[in-house]
Amino acid sequence: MTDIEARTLYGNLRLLLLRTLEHGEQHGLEIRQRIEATAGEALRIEEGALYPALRRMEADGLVASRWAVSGQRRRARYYKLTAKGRRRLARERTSWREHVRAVARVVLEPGEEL
Amino acid sequence: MKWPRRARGRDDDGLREIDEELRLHIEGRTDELIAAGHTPEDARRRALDAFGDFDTVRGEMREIEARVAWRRRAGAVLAESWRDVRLGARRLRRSPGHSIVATLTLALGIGASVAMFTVLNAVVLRPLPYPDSDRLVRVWPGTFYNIAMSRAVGESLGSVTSYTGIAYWDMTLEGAGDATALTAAVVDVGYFDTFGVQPLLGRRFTIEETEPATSGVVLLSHELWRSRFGGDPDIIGQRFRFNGNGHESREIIGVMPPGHQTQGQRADVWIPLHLSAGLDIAADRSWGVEKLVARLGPGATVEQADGETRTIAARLLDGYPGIFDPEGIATASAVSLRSAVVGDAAGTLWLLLAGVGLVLLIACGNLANLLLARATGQRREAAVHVALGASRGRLVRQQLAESAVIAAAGGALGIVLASSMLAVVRVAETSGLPRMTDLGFDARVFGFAAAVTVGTLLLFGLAPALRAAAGDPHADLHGTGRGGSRGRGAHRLNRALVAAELAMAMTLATAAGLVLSSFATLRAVDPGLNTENVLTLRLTPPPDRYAGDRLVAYYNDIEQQLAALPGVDAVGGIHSLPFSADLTVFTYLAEGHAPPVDAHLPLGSLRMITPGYLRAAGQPLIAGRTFTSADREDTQLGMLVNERMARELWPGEDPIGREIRIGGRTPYRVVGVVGDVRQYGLDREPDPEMYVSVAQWAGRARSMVFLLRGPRALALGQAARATVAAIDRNVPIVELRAFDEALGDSIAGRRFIVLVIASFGALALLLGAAGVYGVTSHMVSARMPDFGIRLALGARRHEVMRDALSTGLWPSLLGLAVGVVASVALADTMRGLLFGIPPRHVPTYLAAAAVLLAAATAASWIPAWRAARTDPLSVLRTE
Repeated sequence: MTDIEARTLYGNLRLLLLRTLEHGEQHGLEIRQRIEATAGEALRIEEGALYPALRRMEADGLVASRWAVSGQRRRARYYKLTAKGRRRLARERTSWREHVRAVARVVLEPGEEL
Repeated sequence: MKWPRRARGRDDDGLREIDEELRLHIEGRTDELIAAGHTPEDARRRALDAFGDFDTVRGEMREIEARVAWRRRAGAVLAESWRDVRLGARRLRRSPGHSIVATLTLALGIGASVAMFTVLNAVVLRPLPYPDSDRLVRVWPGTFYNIAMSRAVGESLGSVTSYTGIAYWDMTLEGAGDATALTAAVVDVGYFDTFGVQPLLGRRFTIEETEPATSGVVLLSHELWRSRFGGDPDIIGQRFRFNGNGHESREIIGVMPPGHQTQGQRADVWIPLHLSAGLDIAADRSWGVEKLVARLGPGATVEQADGETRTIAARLLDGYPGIFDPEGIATASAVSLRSAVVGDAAGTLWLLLAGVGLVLLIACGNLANLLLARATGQRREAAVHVALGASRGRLVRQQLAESAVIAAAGGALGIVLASSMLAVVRVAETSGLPRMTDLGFDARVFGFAAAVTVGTLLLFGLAPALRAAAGDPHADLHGTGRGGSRGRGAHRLNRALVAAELAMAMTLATAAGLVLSSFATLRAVDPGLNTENVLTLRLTPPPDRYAGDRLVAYYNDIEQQLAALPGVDAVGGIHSLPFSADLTVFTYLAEGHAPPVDAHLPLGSLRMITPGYLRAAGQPLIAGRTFTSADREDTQLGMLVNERMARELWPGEDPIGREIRIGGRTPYRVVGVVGDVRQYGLDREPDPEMYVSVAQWAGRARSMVFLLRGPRALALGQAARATVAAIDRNVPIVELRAFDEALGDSIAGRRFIVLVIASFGALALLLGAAGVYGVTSHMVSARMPDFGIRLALGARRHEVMRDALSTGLWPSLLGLAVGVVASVALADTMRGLLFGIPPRHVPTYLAAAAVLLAAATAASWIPAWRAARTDPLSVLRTE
């Protein structure tokens, strides 16, 4: 799994965003930077896809947003996790872990590790 | 409906914010890339590339935004409606008297409607309790038919997959304990496929078992199996003494599933219709098949079956000349079984539902008036609201919400009322309607109740709601145009509603009056005999032990020993009790009349009686003599005819000594003339009738009803039972009842209709009077200052009173006039329910109008009196 076409995988993108927002309130550019910094070149996300995903999560009550002025004295829309979002993150993290382990058991050679 | 402005504003903001957020992202990324060393042009290109398709992203976000906005709006509307409803409920609590009257009025109307609809649903709309019951048809070959004929017709029907003839016969179950009288459904092999029923235990009949010699089998009803055989499954294959219909005992081959019944009559057992091979329609003497029911094949229609039936009947008419009546054959038809079962009841019940609809409309009129009155009273409050910025739409919604609370409460209470009304009907079930046994609420009834509730809400809630918004807040706030001149339009509407209510009440009262007078007329009809203080008991002696002379001797014993009971004045027997629907007719040829050319002989009703019958039944002997024990099989065959027959056959001549040949063959000599009896119901003119002695009737009545007349005959049930058991304990009494009751049952259907329409009439009267009271009372309250001033200026009290009275009475009179016209126009739809009076029976119309006018006057009197008693000073002071 070197290249994830995240634009079509809203589920994966959502998990990424939930995890990223766990670090605190951020606007879109910060979120993008953090994902790039953590995942590196292996995970390329079409940047425009972040915003519909965030909006959808907001409609589902997973995140909340507000307009504020950023460090560079620019207006920006800030997103943060809601309580519901935190619960969802915990749940999805568990199921993701199980999913990856299961795939690993099938795909990897015996003795080989992730 | 308009949405609140701020919601729409928020939508526009949302779209702007999307664009801004995306623009800021591109700008921010460009700056980042410039900071990383790219030229501005390069940085912007890279930022755009990394972003992906801008329009797609924006479109997606707008879609999400629209969905969120919609959800927000729906939530707001819901919350606002809920607020309105709670506010409405609070305002209703502020005037509990009004609210309770309104709710009760509506509950009465809805309750009566729901109860009526439940009856209609049970009788007319519900499917019959068989699988795919809409595929069942009832075939009528245009004449009475025997087994051979029912099979000939059934086999020739191409559009059906199975058919069965059905007859009902008495049977006796003998053995340990008292003999039990049973009703046997006698059916063809096709019965099971036709009705879609499988025995719960055991098996169906086989085709071999339709032969007389091998037909000694029986299937038990689930109830009989449980009650008489203890639900023992090992009973299958055993023989019991099921006595009757050619067998002394029968083998139990099966048990029917619980709840299965033949259509129309309760059966305890099912046995096969049996017919000797080779007997054709002309030779078969089994003319007792009552019904022919068939199941339509796939794709076949009732119309097809109907056409086929007509063709087959016409062919039979040609094939068996002289047996069938051409006029009768012309009536051959096939109809859906359900419509055959429901019959005339459907039209009557729809008519009654329309009647209860009028009651409901009157109730709505009252409610509208009540709410209008309050809306007018609350105008100042509404004006304040408008002045403070409430929209008129919101006022309309609030008023509607208030009405909705009343409607919901009225609907719920109405359902409760309906169920208690139905409980009464169930207890006193003598309606004579088919399928009245299961008066439950099903989804259809609840759907009806909901629809009626919403419909009434629109009817009574809309006018006050619109009025709430129509006021002039300026004038209302300043209190200009107070007193009598306020809200002329409202008062006009009030009065129009009262007039409409009275018109509808008049229609219902007239209908009630017409059926009541009809019923009174019917009750006053002389049935031709005296049913008071007569106990009747029916006996069906098992034919294997009682046939020929033995049967006659048995009937003789019964008659004599019953007559010997203390307190019995007279005893006599007849093969079929008057007022039962049982029709026994024979062709005859009378002396002095030539047999008709190219047509069959005339038909006459035939009664088989014992010597004591006329005295026991209280039927007068007009001329000649009745039968005695000297009339035996080996003496001259004697006959009694009724007056109508004597008059028709030999007008102006002495009928005694004349000869009548029954079936055109066997000669009987007329020995007496008896009075006419309304055998088939009080509403039917007497038929020409022949009476023969049981002792001289070759067919011998297999079943006889004995009548015991005496001052305390109705208390003699136990003694009669003991007497019958002492003669032969294996002959059970099939039915024991008062003669009066049989007469009562024959008019039960009419009694039910009278009861229902009369209650509608009473409700209409009550609600109409309440409406008149309400409008007068409201008007008087509004004009109190007016009255006070007039009285202060020296007006006479009776003048004020007259003025107040006219408020309610003028619209009432107008309504009554309209009601009379409507009644005259509608009267013809009721023709079928009337007896002995024309649909435009003037005295009934006058009486109904008089009663309503009296009620309206009384209802106006109270507030008018209040107006006249006003103390002018106190009124002026409060102003």
